[in-house]
Amino acid sequence: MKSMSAIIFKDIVIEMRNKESITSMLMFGVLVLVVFQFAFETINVERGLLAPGTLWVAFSFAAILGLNRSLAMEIDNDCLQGLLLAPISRGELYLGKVASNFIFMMIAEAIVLPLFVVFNNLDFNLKFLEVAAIACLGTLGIASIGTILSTISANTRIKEVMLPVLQIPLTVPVIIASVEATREVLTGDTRGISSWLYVLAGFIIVYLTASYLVFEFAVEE
Amino acid sequence: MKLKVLAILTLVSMLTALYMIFLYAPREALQGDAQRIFYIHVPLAISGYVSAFLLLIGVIGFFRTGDLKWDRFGETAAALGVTFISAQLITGSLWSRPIWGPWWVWDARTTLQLVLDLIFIAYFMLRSYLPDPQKRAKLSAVFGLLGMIDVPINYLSIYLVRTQHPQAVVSPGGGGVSPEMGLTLTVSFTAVGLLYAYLFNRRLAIAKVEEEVDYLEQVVLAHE
Amino acid sequence: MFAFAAYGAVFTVIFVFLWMMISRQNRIEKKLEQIKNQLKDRNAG
Repeated sequence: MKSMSAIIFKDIVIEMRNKESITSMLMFGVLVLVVFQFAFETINVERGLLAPGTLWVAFSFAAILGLNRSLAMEIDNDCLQGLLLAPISRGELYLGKVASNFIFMMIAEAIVLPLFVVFNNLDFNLKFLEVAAIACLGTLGIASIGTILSTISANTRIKEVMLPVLQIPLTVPVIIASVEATREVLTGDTRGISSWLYVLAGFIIVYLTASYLVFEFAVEE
Repeated sequence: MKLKVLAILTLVSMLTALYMIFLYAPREALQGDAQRIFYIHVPLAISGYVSAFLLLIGVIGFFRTGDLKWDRFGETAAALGVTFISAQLITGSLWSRPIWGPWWVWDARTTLQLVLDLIFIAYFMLRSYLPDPQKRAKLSAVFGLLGMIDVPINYLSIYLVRTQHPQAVVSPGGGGVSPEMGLTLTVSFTAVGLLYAYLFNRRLAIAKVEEEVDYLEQVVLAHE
Repeated sequence: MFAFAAYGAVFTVIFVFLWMMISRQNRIEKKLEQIKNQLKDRNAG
C-alpha cells in the first residue's frame, strides 16, 4: 500500500512539473469533440443519440495518448529500470501505475465533460454526476488494461502504433457498456443500466486481477 | 507418415463434403442456393472458438512451464484462428447479402467473431515486432491471456446490446433441417475438423524445425 | 452464385495459408542446406 502511494506521489510530482500527460489528453479529447461536431453538423439527426458515442471516442483515444506519454516518460530516462530495482512487488508496481494513470485520465475528463455539455447544448444537471460516475468506471477499465498493454507495447520498435492495435479490440466491452450506460442516463430511460454497470465492474475486477498476476511476465527482462 | 495419412483423409473428406453440399443436399425452399454457404460457415465459426481455446491452453502451458513449445502451440492456434475466422466472415457476408440485404449485419455473433479476429491479428502484429524468442513468448503470452479473457466479457456485452435492438428473424438453417441437410453438415464438420487438425500439426512441426535450425545457425556462427 | 463465391473465398484463404506455410518450410530447408555447406567447407579447409 505504501509503495503504491509512493508511485502515485512520484507520478503526480512529475506531472505537476511538466504537465505533459494531462495537457495532451485534454487537448486531444477536445479536438475529438470538435471534429465530431463538424462531422455531424450537416446531417439531420438528434444530437442526443450521437453524443454518448462521441464522448467515449474522445475518452478512449485520449486515454491511449496519455498511456503512451506516461510510459514514454519512464522509458526515455530509463526510469522503468529504476522502478524494477525498487523493493516492491511487480503487482504493486502495476496497481500504482494504474492508479496514477487513472487519476490523470480523470482530471482530463473532468475538463472535457463540461465542454461536452456546452458543445451539445445540454443542461448542467444532476445527470452529469451519474455520467461522471460511469466515466469513473469506464476509465478505470481502460486504465487497468491500458497500463499492462502499454508496458507490453513499449518493448516493440513502434510502441505508439502498437498500443492502440492491442488496446482497442480488448476495450470493446468497456466502450459498449460505457456508451450504453451514458446513453441511458442522458435519455432518462435507465431500465437496463444495471446490466451495463455489472459488465463494467466485472471487466475491471477480472482485468485488475489477471494483470496483477501476470504483470511480472510483462516487465521481466 | 501420420501427417500424410491425415492429409489423404482430409482431402477425401473435403471432396465428399463438397459433393454433398452442392449435389446431395436439397435446395432450401426459402433461401435457395445461398443456404449452401451455411454448411461451411458454421464449422468455420466453431473452429474459431476452438482456436481461442487452444491459444488459452498454450498460454497457460507457457506460464506453468516456461517451455517454448507452448508458445509455438499458441501461435499455431492463433494463425489458424485468423485464417478460419477471416474465411468465415467472408462466407457470412456473402450469405447475408442475398438473404438479409446488407453485406454486414452487426449482430452479436458476427461482431464477436470480428473482434476475436482483430485480437488474433493484434497478437501476430505484436509477435512480429519482438525479435527475441524468449521475450516474444512471454509478452505474447500475456497478451494472449488478456485477449482470451476478453472473449466471454465481449460476448456478454455484445449480446446485451444486440438483444435490446431489433434482430433479424431469418437465421441460417432457421427453418426445418431435413435429414439430408443434417448429414451434409456432419460431413462438412468432419472435413473442416480434419483440415484443421492437418494444418495445425503441419504448422506446429514446421515451427519446431525452424526453431531448431535457428539454434543450429547460432551455434555454427558462434564457432566461426 | 453467392454460394460459389463463398466456397471460392474459403479455398482461396486456405490456399494462401498453405502457400505461406510451404514457403516457410522451403526457407527453413534452404537455411539448413546453407549451414550444412558451411560446415563442410570448414571441415575441408
